[in-house]
Amino acid sequence: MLLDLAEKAVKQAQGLGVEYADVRAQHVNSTSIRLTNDRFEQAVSGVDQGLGIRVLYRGAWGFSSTSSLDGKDVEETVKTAFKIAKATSKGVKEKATVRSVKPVKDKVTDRTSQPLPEIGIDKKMELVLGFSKTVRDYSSKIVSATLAYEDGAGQKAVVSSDGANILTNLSRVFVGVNAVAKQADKLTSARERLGKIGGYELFQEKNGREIMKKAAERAVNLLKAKPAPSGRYTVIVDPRLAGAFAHEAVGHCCEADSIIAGESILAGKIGKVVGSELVSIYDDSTLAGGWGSQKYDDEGVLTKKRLLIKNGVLKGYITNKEASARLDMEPNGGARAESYAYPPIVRMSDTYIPQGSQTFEELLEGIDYGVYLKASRGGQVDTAKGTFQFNAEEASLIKKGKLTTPLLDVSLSGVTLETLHNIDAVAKDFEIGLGFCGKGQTVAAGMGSPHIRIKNALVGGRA
Amino acid sequence: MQDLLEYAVKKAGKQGASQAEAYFIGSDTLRVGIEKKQVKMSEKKHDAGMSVRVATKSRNGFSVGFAYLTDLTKKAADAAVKQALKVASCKKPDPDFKSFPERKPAKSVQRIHDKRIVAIEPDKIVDLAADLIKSIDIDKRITTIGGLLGVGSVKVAITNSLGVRGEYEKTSYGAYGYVVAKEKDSVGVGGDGYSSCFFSEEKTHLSFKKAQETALKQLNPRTVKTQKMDVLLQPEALGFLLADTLIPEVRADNVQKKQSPFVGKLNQMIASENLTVVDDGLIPQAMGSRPFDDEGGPSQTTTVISKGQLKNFLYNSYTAGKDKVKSTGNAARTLGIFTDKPKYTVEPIVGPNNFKLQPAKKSVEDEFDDVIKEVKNGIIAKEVIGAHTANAASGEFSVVLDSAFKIEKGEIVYPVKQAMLGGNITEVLKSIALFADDVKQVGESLIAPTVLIKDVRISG
Repeated sequence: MLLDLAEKAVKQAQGLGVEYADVRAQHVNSTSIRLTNDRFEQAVSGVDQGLGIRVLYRGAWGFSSTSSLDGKDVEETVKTAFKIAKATSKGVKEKATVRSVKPVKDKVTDRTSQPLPEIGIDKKMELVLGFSKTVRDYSSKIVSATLAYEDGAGQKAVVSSDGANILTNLSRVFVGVNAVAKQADKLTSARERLGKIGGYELFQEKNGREIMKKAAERAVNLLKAKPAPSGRYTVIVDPRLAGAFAHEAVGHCCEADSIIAGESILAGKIGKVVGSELVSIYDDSTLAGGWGSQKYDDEGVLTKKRLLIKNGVLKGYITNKEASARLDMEPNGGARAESYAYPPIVRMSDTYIPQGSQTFEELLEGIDYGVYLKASRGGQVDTAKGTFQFNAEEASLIKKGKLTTPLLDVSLSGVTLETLHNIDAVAKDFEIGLGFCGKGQTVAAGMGSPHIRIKNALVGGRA
Repeated sequence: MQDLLEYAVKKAGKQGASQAEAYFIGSDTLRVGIEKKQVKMSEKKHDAGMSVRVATKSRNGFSVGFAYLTDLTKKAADAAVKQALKVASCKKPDPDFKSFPERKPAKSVQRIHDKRIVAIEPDKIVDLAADLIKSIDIDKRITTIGGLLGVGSVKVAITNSLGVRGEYEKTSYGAYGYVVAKEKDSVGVGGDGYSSCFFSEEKTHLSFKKAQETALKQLNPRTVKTQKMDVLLQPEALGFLLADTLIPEVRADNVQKKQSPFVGKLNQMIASENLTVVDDGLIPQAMGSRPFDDEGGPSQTTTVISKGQLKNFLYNSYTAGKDKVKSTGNAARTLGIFTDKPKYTVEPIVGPNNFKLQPAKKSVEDEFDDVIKEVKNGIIAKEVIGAHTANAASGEFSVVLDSAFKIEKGEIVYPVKQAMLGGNITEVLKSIALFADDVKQVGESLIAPTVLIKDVRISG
């Protein structure tokens, strides 16, 4: 039914004379739960459905979407997309084109042993309450716990005029906690997340309570932390924060849309040295169990493991059909849309720095005075200027090669290319975390790394 | 639409709900994107849906259930009522729940609907975009012009079993220009935006012009030494900073959850005596204005901070019931990470309408240039990077000042790169010394002028 609607929409667009069209149609049952201090602020299941079509006409893009899957509404939506592409074409100087790939018809099913729609919302609410209890019971210093549960299961069709015809039975589930601890006037918080592409079996496979409890433990430990110094120091960055750096500071600059828009410091730098030879970075949509991975992207292109940086040399970009045509590259499956209601844009999937060869202790050795930063509270980058800023959730002072005083509210900022050159050690441990990436649209993205050491990094604290 | 809403409310009553509410929102948006000095992509979206909220009563209090539908038929409404009742039955009764809003006369709010926006054709926006590009692409150093022009219209209707029945139509216009300039190895970036319920070509041109000027002036920046100095935060910078600190911290839901440094601080000084903050849902043309909030409570003007003293928190009906006060008309259907989720899929929590920072006394509002002259050693920043990483529970933050310039002896002397401002939001609010006269709405809720913050630590 979804495929039929999508195929018809593409045919209708072709009849109107478009150069290219792609359609995403979805019908997804989703559940969303928010629980704070044992009170449900949201508990809702519903169907998120609709169709979005993107057309290319005289080198200009038009996109239109509707939350109705009625045939007539879809016809109108196609006409609207065409009409606005036509209007837009008047303002286009450099016409867009697309690099097509081999036609592919496929059906993909996210593996689940416990399908999400078979579990009632009551069970899911009970699960979340249980997690909350674990967090709140950890210590009397925990004053608040907020839990967020999100799942979605259903069908998505992607059809394009150059021959993609993909039906995905999708299923994903996520739960996250934010624990707040308090002592005297001091408030601290920490987060943990758990999720997978798959079904409710996640909660048999993983000990959710233990994972959620870690947030409580970390928030309570932070109560002992002291304000951090500001200035330039040698820092060690843990896998979660280093993964966020790889994603935010480097990955975004490798997105081919920002390259062709002239908004990336890595434009024209393929084959050039952009960092220390210890640094390699991948963006991999094929990672087994990867939170941000998928077999086909939202233009219907088979996805790949993309090498972005190899031993300090820039090797490639993440690209879609349009940017590939402009840059004369093969599309590598980097186009993603948050839902039917958004046009696909160039996005990352699971981005990581692969393992190095040193131990964590070796990274610590020789640091006379420095900072160890752990986990990310979030970050922001400017891809055109090549600057970044992150806030660590936890940190410790490093003195004479030893971890000492725990620190609070520490940020790390810098110039991306300088920072990449200043990475002087990469550990052999590795961890990849679940994230969400916002770029006008929110998509799931994995971010991973070993521990890394950075010289001369700008640390911001309050001491 | 009211017919289907009333049908659902009645149905819920018949099936055992003590109270019920039905809410509808339909929206149409048109956005035109500019990229690399050309109009790039246009998009038009239509979305419509309805939600049902029920409260069932038992001996220990009420339980609230919620469900939504996009297939706007009686059959789908029946299913949603059933689902909402099921969710209610899964919850423990909540003794803090008192009632959905009762019927109260709604205030009228002027100029939130611009007929021109509803009738606007894509061609007109595309032409405007092309004009904007042409008018600022007049310097060889400008390598990129990007941006977004968007118009939207919404229809909202609500009905509940306590007699609330209302509807309104509202439009919105947002424009953002983004310019990159290059000179040798130096890159300068500038951005500026305009948002209002009303369309304005003139204001849009001004924004793009400002973005262009900033990008050029940002070329060849220098670093500053770590030191204490004055900081001028422009409306955009305040908008970013307060969106993740002060605004969530004065929401009654966060205060009740103790996720705010202002627990128990009513009537205490939390800011400079120069500062007054109001949340006002009734300002003509402002993005956050509307006759009633997302559960039908009338909009009002609420004094949050008066001359530095914390006076009120922002309430919806639930949090007001819990604190035994009146709602301030701040029910908002919004969720954290998936901010673009349609409103009909989200249960109301608390959010700002128009959150306005102003001088406590009208006379202390100074001309922008005079405020600059007051600064012997300082920095002015239009944007901050990383505000969303602030710790809203404590108010601690650390941000990079962006689009920033050094001020010496009352004059702007050079662009600054990589300066960081860290601290606690209450310290910042307590150090506000002066307000400029450049009041502006940034994004959807904050309205503020540039403010002067005395003597804060900047790391270079």
